[in-house]
Amino acid sequence: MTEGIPVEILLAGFVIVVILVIVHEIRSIQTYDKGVNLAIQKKIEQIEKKEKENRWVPASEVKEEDLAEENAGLVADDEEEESEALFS
Amino acid sequence: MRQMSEPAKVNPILPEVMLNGILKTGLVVVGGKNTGKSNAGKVISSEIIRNQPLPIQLKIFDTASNLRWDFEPILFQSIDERTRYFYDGDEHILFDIALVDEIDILSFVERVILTDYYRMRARKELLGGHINKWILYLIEEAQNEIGSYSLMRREGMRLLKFFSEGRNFNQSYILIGQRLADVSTRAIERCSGYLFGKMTGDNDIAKLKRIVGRDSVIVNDVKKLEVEKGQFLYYNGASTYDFNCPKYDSKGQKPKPYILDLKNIPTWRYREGVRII
Repeated sequence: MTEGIPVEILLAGFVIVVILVIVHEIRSIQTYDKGVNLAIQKKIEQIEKKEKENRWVPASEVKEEDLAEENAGLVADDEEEESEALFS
Repeated sequence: MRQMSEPAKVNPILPEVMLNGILKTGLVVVGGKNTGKSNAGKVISSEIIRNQPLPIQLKIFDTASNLRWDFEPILFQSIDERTRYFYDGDEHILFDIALVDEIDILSFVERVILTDYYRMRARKELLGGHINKWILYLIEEAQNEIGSYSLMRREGMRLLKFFSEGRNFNQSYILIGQRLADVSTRAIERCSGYLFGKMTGDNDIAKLKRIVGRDSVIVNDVKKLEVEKGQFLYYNGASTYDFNCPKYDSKGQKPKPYILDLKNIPTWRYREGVRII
């Protein structure tokens, strides 16, 4: 069946097919990576959005362990602002 | 305050027609620079606080620190990057917002209002369709909180629910801004009460014509208002009234800081798995 076709051409054909297969594989790996990256990015965005939505919490849902920290900040702020007001 | 084309009458500072209008349809206070908009906001809210005509709770959002140093002795809370818990009790509250990012401000306002929205909804269900109190939001410099395109954003979409349905759950609002064009049209068009200060800019007048009608006398009257006398026009969609706003006097008082404390927040707490409304 291969009678008359030079071996060089057959070899060249084989090499081309191998190269095409390799290129296809590399591209599909890249596409997969891109897809994974996109999925990760989307997940991060969702988490960030959720965090932003939950950033503000009604005081009635405060946890006792957070109270001291929050009020320490509040008192420090007030003192700072009152001293600023005094000297302005 | 008198209705146009009617003889002047002696009325209280905040007449019933205006207060009812604010609760039923909301109010947009708008006027050029230095026309006394913030003063008008202070006068209206202080009248509500001092005289308590109805069980109304005021929640004030102020990004310009206009009220913190010179207002009624109500609670105030500073809201900045470090704040996590916001006051959600039953007293009047002033949120002094020191956030810069527009989306942060919007998300805060949204969180406060929608928290109330769900609670008022629950309250209405529990009380058989009648809610025994009002929550009135006063939003100073409204262009900072709900700017032109804010309600089209994903973050602001849910706030639209409040502007369209809030009144069914006894939630209403006063928006104060310099220019009609700077505040979200979606919010402004859902309101039918307006307090106009002196306006002269072409863009403002064009917007005004769209609200009151091209041939309305208000268009000319608004240009002639005297700022020094605190003159405003109140328009409720049907009638127009003069509103002469006196200068606000806090009588040397100022808001007091809110300190987060478990004792101060019994109202909405879960007790043994049951939410207390």
